[in-house]
Amino acid sequence: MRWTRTSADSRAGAFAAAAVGFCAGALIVCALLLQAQEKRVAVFTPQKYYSVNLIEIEGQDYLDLANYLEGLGRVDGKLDAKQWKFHFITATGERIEVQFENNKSKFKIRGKTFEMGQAFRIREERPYAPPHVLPELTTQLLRTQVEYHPAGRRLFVGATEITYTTELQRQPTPRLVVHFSAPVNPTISSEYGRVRMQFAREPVTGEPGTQSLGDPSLTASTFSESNGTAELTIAGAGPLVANVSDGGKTLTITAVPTQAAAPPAAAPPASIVTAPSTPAPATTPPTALRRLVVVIDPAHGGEETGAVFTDKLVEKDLTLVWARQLRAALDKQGVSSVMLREGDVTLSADQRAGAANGLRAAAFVTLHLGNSGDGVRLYTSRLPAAQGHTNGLIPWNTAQSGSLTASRSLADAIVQALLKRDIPAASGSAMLRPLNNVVAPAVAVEVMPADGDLASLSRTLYQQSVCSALAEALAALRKPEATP
Amino acid sequence: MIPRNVQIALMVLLTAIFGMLLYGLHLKTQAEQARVAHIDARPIVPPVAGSAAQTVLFVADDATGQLERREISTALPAEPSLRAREVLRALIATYLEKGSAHPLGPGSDVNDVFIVGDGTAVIDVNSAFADGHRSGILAEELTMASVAQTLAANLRSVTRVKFLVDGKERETLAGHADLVDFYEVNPERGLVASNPR
Repeated sequence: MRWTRTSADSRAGAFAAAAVGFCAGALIVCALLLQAQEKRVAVFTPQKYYSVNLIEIEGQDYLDLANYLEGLGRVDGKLDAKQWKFHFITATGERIEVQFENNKSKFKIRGKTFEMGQAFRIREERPYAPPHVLPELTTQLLRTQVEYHPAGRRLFVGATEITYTTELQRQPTPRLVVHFSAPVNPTISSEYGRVRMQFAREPVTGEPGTQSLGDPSLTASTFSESNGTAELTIAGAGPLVANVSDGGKTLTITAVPTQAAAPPAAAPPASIVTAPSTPAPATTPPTALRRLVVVIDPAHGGEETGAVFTDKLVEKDLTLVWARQLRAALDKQGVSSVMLREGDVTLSADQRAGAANGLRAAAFVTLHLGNSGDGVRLYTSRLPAAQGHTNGLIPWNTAQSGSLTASRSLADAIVQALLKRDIPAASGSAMLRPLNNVVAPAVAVEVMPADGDLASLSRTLYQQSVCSALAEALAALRKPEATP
Repeated sequence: MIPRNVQIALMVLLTAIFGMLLYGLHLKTQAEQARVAHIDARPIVPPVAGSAAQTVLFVADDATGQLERREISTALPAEPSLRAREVLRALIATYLEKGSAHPLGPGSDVNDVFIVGDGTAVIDVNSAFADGHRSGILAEELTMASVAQTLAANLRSVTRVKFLVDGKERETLAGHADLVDFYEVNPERGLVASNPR
């Protein structure tokens, strides 16, 4: 018999395939939505962090007690439809007898009865208990201090909590320094006038609520907990920049003055070297003691990795190492410097430029590392240089125009300093943010491996050699001959 | 008890089957390797109707960090947008060749080029072009300069270019070169203003 495929068959097949595809898609979407709304209890112990999901039984929250206890020790026993009788074995090997009965609110530990105010449930061969029983149960089993924050669903077993203190510094730029009792690695996100730090895996605790900071630039700090995560939010009147330092124990939130881009920098280097709107005191010598702050931007960071050299060597980590070397070299030259990031945080190009402008940088250096070619390449903005003096506000997108002549001079000076040390160097222009938005001499430095050897980027000697040349050229900005 | 001659025959047959299995696997591996070797990631360029013309390409070289001017003869359509696209495809083809001095990611291509009246050319590249691009200021700047200079050399009206990736704006090419702003073809200071080596 010969089979023929009719158009009706193929239509039916297509319809069936579409229906299956639609159902699968709908299931995936539902699963994602359910996952997004999952409630959980975060458990912090001195050894580890884990979380247990909550389910709803008859309109009340329950958690899988076996999952919770297995995070703290070993559970040896059997569960049947009526009861769960088991031995909890602690890390020291102590065996503790525990008994729960289905649909009963009482439970026994070492033969002693406790009331939990809500019934224990056995569902699909799993034991479920209300989360508020955890402090009492855990204290009885481990004989240690346990603290439960029901609103945030966070449980602290033993002395695990990380506390913090805040310190407001008003000079030279308003900043809030947050000191933690142990290193933290929060997820930092920022928007205009607000920096949020989320602590999902760290037992950070604080006084819930909002506290006024009493500064017009940094207005308030808010600590809150929800669904196992703590959040510290710093609010300000303008853009804020967060930096991690001291191995993760210190977070500094700096307020960037909103008038940062306003000074009409007409490009004379002398006015760039000094703070433009702050007249120097009469006793200040003309040039020698003028304030010179170099802003160092370790490029990339956080989600933005930059170039990936090897599995373990990425540009964002190396730029940080090189930035520290440059800071040390500038210190030797007696030049103050500020690093835009001290840890692995994501900063947008606008945040970097805003911070540099806010700090009234004498020069801005953004550090990059490349893997093609050798030596060092210096880049300035591709914008055309401004003709004559600019009055009034400076457009953000072309803020660099007024400083471009000084930027090119700086790039050329760095090239000369590098060539003096037999390091191949060249300068040019590039479309690279945030160069266009900086109101100060701004250069991008891209360091290539010496003689094509990728490992040289990690060598201290190479780093010091390049950075000392950069520092030498940057320090020359304060010399009287640098002014026209 | 199986007779000895049958045992020997079975052993021989089993050995033959095992041998053929190994040989079959070997042939399969060879065929797969041959197929991979013949895959060419270059986009399939449809035949162009038009007269042959001298085309100027500015080809980037990573080692020197500079652009090298080359002239090739290729068939180009008369319509400016199509002409621009074919010129850029010829340029990209040089980067996709084996041993290129400035390699681009496999499958890199130009979707479209739109010539706007004010000297602006909007170049829409595919995602393979951007996603497969090497990260680095020099590598990315060389690509953009090469594309912009090549386009301007063949279409005199073009003074600046704007890059899109699959029809959408993108912040950077591969983490460095800014794709948000327009790329001026002739800036005051070029890609490499001074290279005193």
